[in-house]
Amino acid sequence: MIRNMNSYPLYDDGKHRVYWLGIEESEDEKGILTNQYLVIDGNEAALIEPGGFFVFSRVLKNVSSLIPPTQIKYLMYSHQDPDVVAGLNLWFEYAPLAEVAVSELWVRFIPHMAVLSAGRIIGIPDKGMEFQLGSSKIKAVPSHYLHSPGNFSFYDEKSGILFSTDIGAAAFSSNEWYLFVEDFEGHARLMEAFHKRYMSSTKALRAWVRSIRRLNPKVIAPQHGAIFRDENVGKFLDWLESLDVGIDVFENEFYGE
Amino acid sequence: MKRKATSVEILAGKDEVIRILEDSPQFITNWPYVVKVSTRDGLVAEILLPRFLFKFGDTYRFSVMKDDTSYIYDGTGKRSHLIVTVTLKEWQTHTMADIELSYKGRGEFLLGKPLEVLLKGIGNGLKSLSEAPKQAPVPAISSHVADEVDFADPMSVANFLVKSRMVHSGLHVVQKGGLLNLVLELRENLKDDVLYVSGITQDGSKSFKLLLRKSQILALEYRSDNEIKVVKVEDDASARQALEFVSRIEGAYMVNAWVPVGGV
Repeated sequence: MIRNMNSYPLYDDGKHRVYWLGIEESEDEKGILTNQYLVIDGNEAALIEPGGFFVFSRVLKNVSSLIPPTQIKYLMYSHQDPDVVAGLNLWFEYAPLAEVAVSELWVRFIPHMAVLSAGRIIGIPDKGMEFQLGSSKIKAVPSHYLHSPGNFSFYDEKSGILFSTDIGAAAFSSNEWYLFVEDFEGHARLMEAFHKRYMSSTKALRAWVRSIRRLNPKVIAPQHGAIFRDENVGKFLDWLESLDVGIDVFENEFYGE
Repeated sequence: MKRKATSVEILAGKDEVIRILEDSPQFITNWPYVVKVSTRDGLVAEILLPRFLFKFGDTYRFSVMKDDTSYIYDGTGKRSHLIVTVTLKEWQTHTMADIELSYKGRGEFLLGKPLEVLLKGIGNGLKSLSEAPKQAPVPAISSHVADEVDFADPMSVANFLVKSRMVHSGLHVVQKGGLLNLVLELRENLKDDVLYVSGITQDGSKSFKLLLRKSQILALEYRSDNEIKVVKVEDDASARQALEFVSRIEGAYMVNAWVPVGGV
């Protein structure tokens, strides 16, 4: 079982800080572990992909050691999967001044998480929007159909880190775990099956790559798997561009000729 | 060579601590600043020590040695050498772990602080991994989760909230001594015995959390500018203390109320 209960600093210029918040594996995750991230600018924080009940204790502990949870301004959810949102009711209470940012497609589902929105929900429009955090900005970048129909990546302009939701997810084998990708070709083998099956459309994937190239991120940090930096950012985008996924791969297999 | 040492008291028997130390890959994965662990060809771990805007990284090949009371994790990297020694002393049901870290090589004279964080994190990680089986929070349908809520233990609250639904959220002005009047108002449309009410001021400087069964306070957390008080009501004295803090609450609060949804 992979377990690292510590946070790790991804960026720190004294005023603006970004942390990866540790990792732990449940028996059923089969190597597809979830990453959570915290962006702090001055006295305000954004918790990216807060995660479910299973990881709540670790994430709360690591967040609390970096900033009081009452200073979390945004709880940012890329999409509606349980491994992203299942702890929403806990964070609603533990970060009581935070607003929840999620695709407007999923706002109507929030009462099913047993919380009242109470003006704390920001439905992100399909084209995306910007969030002010201290003196910095986080952009919600459309990532629809990759894999969710209402999906966003989050781009932290100051650090140049793109939080890329499930895009870049990898399944680790039992004898290795790493936070940063070093051997891209080896890592690509851990990503391929996930992307082919979970991502819906090759067209959507290529559109996303185009929009991300315009942003020119320094780092790409997915919700599962390892983080891309330096030359591996470009290699990753090239790899995605060359990949066929979803219905374009499985149409015949699933539906016949 | 830079040397640092610390001790941690672990609320677990020596066997439990040894079980963690024996699983070297898992133990090392949980050290701070470890960004890669592989067992494909021996035990190899990459550690990136942050200092200012720089990262001092090295990949260490570990060999593990042990005797009756000590474990030595000896890591040889390309540019540095790292040794972590853990010595155990059992005392009744507790275990004391003395941990020493030695580092020689690149950045040796700059890395005092990150090495200290690394050492402290190794100790805390060993403690939490060893104590984990006793603390694993398992929400049990049959138990009275509300009775187990203690605001000093966030997971006891999480166990409650995960089986609860929010029934109210809104801005309220609480007069001094008037919080229980607000609770009565909230109760008017609820048939549940157990009610959890929390409030926080808009600037986050003051907050409270209150758990009640009917009119009985079960637990309280009170935060003001200069005071944090957590009360788990277990007797008359703690009940009086909780009431005293409830009576101090005043101001404009964003208030949330939750009730259990079965099994609590």
